[in-house]
Amino acid sequence: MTRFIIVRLLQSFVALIGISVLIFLLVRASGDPTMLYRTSMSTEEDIARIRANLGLDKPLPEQYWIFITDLAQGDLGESLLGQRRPVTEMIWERLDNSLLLAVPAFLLSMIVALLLGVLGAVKRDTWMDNGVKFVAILGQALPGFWLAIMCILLFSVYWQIFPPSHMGDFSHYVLPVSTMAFFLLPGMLRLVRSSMLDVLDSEYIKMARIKGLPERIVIWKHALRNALIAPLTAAGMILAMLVTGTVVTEQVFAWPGVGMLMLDALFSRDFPVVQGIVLMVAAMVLLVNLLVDILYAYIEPQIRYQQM
Amino acid sequence: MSKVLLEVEDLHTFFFTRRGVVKAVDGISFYVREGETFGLVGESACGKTVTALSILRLLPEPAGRIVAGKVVFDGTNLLELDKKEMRAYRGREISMILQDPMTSLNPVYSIGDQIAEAVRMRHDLPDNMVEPEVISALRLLKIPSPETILGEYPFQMSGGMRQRVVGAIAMSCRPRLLIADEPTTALDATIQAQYLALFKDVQKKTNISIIFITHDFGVVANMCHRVGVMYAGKIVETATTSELFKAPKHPYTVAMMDSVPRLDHKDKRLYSIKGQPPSLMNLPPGCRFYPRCSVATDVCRKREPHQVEISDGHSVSCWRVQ
Amino acid sequence: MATTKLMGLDKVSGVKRPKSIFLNLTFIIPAVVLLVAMIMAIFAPLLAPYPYDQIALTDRLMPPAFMEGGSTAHILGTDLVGRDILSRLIYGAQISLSVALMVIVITAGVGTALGIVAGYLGGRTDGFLMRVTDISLAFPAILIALLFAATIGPGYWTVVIAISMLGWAPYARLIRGEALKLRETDFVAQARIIGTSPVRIMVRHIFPNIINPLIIMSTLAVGMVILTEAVLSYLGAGIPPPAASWGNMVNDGRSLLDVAWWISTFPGVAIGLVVMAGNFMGDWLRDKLDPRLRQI
Repeated sequence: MTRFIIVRLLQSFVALIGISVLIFLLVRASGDPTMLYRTSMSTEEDIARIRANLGLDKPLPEQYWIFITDLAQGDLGESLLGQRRPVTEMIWERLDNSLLLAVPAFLLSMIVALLLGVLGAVKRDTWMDNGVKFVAILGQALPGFWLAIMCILLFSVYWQIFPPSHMGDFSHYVLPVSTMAFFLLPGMLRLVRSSMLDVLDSEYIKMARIKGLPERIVIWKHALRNALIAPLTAAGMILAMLVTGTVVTEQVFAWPGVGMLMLDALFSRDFPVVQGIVLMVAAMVLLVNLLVDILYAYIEPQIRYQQM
Repeated sequence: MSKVLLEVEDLHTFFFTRRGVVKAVDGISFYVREGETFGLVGESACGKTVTALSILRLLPEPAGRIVAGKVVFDGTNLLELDKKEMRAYRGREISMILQDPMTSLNPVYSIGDQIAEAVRMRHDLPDNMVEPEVISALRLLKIPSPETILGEYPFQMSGGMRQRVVGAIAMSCRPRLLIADEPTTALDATIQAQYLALFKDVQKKTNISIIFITHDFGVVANMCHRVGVMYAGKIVETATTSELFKAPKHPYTVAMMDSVPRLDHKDKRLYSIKGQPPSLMNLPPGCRFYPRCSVATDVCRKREPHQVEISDGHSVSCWRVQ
Repeated sequence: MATTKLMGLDKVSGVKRPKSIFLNLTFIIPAVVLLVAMIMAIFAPLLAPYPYDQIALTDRLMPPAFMEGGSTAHILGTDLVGRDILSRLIYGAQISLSVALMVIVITAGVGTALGIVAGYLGGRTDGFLMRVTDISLAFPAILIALLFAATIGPGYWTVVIAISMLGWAPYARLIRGEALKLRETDFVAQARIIGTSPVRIMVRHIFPNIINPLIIMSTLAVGMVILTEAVLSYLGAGIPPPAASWGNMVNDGRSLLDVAWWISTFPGVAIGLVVMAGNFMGDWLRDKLDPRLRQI
């Protein structure tokens, strides 16, 4: 198990290096790299200093070395605007806002996906199953940002039940959380339903019924735990959807989270902030995938034992 | 003679699929006495397993449905019970061993958990009696050092051992009828013999009735008191094992027996039955075996033979014996 | 219960039979939607009543024709600067479909090549490529796209390349599985025995046998790519204005919801329709060509 974790950790690290190389190359492919690190206020002197810091007069490998050693010191750089605050600090103070949106949305969609997915699989090919499939098809085709806007149109503009944007009391959470949950739902629903269908066809489920177990135990104990393995392996993909969902939802509802910070930085050409967020989210994605691998090894005993 | 425990009467189980109706079981009748082993023998896909699942009412829904017949267990027609009443019969009265031990245990729960769960289904059992019962079920199936095996997971065991665990689960509620669906097909030859001996031993100890499903006449001779030979959804011949082997009457039975290698007829060439069994979706009008039968006559093609009892307990559905 | 009464048999005659292809609505409707979208895309300059960027400040924020104050001159209304929504929708189809086509050509090519190589060669090559694939599958495409937008600036090719950066991974995953199976077949073994080179085996023997999954996957990818392009354009990291992309059209209307609901609504409907049609078409093709592939 330790070996397994070390190998996975190394792989994640290599992937992170890959992202840094991509950023490094993109910056240099953008024409004049100093453009990305200066503002309209920058003087000739500033630009010369940026040049020196990036090491633009040195060969590419050396430039990369400068870039990566800065990063390795945990330094994501500082914002070009305002008080030139460190990017890490800016991310940190917005992170809880993003989590306040993403975590409830994730939990809500997970619960709904489990209920509907199991229902669909158990009542296979009935009108209930068709209803579940319909929700999945619709959710998969309609763009999340548009649905969110349509919700604002209905609930904020016409009926004025919920506020259309910004953070605040509970009512501010209803629209963002539920539209984001709906954005996440179809993917999870498909995963739960299809893996549940596979499991329900298996011999050990037949065996559980032969034992005379009540149907609720057959489904919620024997079937569900096996069926959860597939969505768990796809947790990486779910996280990717979560990141996308957060950025989009924050934009639509003017929610002051990390996603909004990144988009603002994108438009105000505050490149160090964009770069910092990309790297941080990348690291987070890789870390979560690593944890999922370990968790997966725990749930599926076969893998756990093989890796030891 | 001991009393009849299970009686299946004119059972019809059909599958309603997109492409048509599959008549998997098309009117079969048989009975099993207490303490008796009844063999259900036939080629694959002739309806043996569907018969077993019909008795337990565990057909894949909504495609599979019992459209007619009776399954009378100890005086109760199981087909008239509601779902909850039916469940009380599963495990406690009737149990089953599935064919493939590699897939019939839940991979995420330990052996101990899976047996304990079945044991707990007996309502009268106090909690502190669960583990001893689990262990005694493992002992009954002669699983070595049962105490240490409780925490193990299915993938840690060999196929033969898994099938014993499946047997232990099936026996753990002390059912009165056990259906064994080709329990040894997936096992190695040497382990097969051990497993079959185990069945006899369990039966001696518990006086359980067994329906033994197999395609192997050798196993039938070894295990069963009486046999029903199935072909394309029907039982074509039924008799005691000794009678059947002494004087098989149905051409299909005769052909099947000839296709089993026997030590006492070394010179004789192995006989194999020509052709394929008919599609259960599109059955021929006359006798179902007619297209493959070497002694068929004109009447066989036109009309379906009905069952005739030719001697005590020996019935055949064939125009040749009528 | 009468033992010989056959319950439920009366329903036998009502059992569904597969109908002829052309009666199948799950094929007809998506096909029509996609066809209309394609015609709109190809003949946009001919079909659109106005150029996509023609500003008419006198006609600002006109509602659709069926509403009070609407005019048949602008059937779906106009936006803040008086551009015709219908015309922009038609040009938007051009962007959505051409981005989808580009991305699918690139990702299918790269993914198929990597998948065949990984599946056929196996061993370390396979292990390495599949690990890269796994990580790419788990990586949010939006991050890469925003990064591209921030460095080399938003634009048509930025969008195409940014979506393609990770888009090859699902292809590689699927094709590798197919190649792995094909590697064990007799005709590949036969080719190896007579000394055919690995490259030739991959091109001549394996590739022709993965065309079905490739077609299915590509059809299913249409919806994905269109959605991703729309999200990026909506966020301002995709197709920049004044070009008409369905995504940035939705954004145009975001702040005008209380006065002009139609600006955001219609492009979203267009995205939904085309994406759904693509998904249905993919499902239909899969059922016809290769029902095994239910997983994708």
